[in-house]
Amino acid sequence: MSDERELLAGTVTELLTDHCGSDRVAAADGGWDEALWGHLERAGLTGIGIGEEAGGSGGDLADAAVVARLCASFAAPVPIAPTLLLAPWLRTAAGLGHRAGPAAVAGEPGVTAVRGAGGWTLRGMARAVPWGRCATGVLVLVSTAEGLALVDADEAVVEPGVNAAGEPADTLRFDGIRVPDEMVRPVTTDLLEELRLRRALATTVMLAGALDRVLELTRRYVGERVQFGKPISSFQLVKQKVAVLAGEAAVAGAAADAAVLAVAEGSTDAAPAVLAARVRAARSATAATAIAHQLHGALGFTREHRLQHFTRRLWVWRDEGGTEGGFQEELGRVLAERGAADFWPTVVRAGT
Amino acid sequence: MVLALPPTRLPESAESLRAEVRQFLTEQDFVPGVDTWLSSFDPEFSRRLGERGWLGMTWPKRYGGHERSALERFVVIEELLAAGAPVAAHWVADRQSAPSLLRFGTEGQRQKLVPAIARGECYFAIGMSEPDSGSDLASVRTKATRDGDGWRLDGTKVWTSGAHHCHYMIALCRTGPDRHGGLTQFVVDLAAPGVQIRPIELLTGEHHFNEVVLDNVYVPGDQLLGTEGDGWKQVTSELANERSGPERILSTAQLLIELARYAETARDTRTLATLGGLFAQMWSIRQLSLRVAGALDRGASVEVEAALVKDLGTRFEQEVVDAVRVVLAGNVDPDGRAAALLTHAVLHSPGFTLRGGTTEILGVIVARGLGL
Repeated sequence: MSDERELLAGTVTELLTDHCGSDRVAAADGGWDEALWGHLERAGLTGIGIGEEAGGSGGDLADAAVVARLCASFAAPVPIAPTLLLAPWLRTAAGLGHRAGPAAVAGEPGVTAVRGAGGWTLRGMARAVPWGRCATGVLVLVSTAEGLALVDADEAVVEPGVNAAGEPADTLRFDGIRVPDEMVRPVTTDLLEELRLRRALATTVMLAGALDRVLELTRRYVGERVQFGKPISSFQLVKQKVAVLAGEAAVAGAAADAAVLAVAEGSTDAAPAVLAARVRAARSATAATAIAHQLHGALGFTREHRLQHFTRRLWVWRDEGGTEGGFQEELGRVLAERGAADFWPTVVRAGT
Repeated sequence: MVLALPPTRLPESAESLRAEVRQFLTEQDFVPGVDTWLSSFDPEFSRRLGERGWLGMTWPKRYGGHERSALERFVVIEELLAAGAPVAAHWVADRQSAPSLLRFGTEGQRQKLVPAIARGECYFAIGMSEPDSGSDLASVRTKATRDGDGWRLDGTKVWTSGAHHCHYMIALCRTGPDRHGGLTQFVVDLAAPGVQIRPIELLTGEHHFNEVVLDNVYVPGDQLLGTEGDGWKQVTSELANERSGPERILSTAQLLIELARYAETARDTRTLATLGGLFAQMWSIRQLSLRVAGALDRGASVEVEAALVKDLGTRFEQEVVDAVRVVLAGNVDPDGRAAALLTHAVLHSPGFTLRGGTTEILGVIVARGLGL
């Protein structure tokens, strides 16, 4: 990490240590922590990766990923992933200006827009939109008579929903909502495809962050928990399981970093890199949560223990924006189309 | 974060070097294999690599090396392994014996042995394990006793890959009673009187392993490697540095490439998902391996990270075999290339997670590194 990035990581860690303890995470279950968002915003951390000229705090995608990953490692109940990793890129790609405040992105086109005098009228709904209720502006993909468009919507009717991790996943209804012309931009289906990959990237970064914490919690717990008169970490089987957990966290972290770099640099092999990292991080989530719960015993299976803040998120995030099997198959199709002779060259080109 | 090595970028020079190696490989005549760094012993091929300057890449020029970076070496060896090239002859000498000689050896030893290794003409075997000492390496009993200016060696080394083709073996021997402080390394000439090399067949019947019996073998004093009593320290640093390289990920790469070939026409869901899942594994573990290579290049201590890479990588090598078997076995020409590679890989796969430190020993190293 560059010195600046390390400084950034230190700032974020300090802020989250002060304002995102497990009591705060527990209290925000089913909703979000507006006070924490305020702290992040005042520190300029919700504008990382957005140019200063556009009203952001500067930095690049890799910096934004550092902030998001650390937030995930504290199970921060705030819409950091859409705000830092999805919305700024999507706005730029569609030609919409930057907009401060928490963001949400409704990616599946289930909403239509009809042009009228002086603006557009929306109809339809988007379901299970992550952090939908928190957003000051929702980016909605809509179908129009001319094709796809991206709408920057100020308002929507929110029907609150919650995912298994206790995070907002709301239904947003847009029936009759009117938006001015300048908030609607035509987009191509390619952008929809890119958005799917961006979501996969954002999810990967978040998975890596939660995995970091699951390893740390487990490492500490097995050293403290005494059975048969000694810490359970003195048992070979326990050591072996923690070692496997460490590998799962490390490989997911390395994959996430490499995928971020591939996207940040506009690599022509960013798609296989992101898909590979997404698949590998989901696999780590499955392996790591199983080991962590096994080693935490009944205590880790309770609401009271902090472990569930991370394992529930890992379980939800690994299925977000597509299935693990679907991503594997999609990646396999890319490789099959390139052919066997390009298999190894793709491993290399998609890497750092 | 417990483990936090920064991402590594390959140097600018890596791309042209990679292209050179790929071009070279297209001009060579060999049958691509799996596990070639154990089983494809081809001195001619090793000599050609020596001529190209792809052995001893990081060593000083005065010893026949090429003073290139460890990351450039990473590029060359990953290309050779991914292509399934026959690299077994020089493998141990290039990876660990010569680096040990350069680090711990005398000027005389370096001048005598290292340039020949860099030319691809001098091969080494690893004299560590014994019949009663495997994972518990410090329990070795092969004894070295002073005899005038030299030493007499008595004992038996086992699983000594390629000893029947190699010129030398670096043997870890007991020179004193202290468990760790009583160990010393010697460079043993495998043609010396009293050295008997007997095959230990693999379960396939192939001859790669050997039992090397040292019966009152005289070793001149100037063939002691490093310092008397430092054998344990020397051997553990040797192991840590050889654990995380591309050969811990790519032993079955050719089989995976066969699956990619099969997928070109068989585009069913299972085949594609298997191919995608294995690519995700290979790509991700390689990224972790690159970080360790970068850290080693900077001179950082990475024992734990290297152990993690080896554990993940070697289990992945086995996963390739099994996953490809589930898709391919019975669906391909039984006399074809894919079937042959699969059979060879199945029969070789137990070794992947044993050599260079078993999965279980790696787990102990990682756990210790995590403070457990």
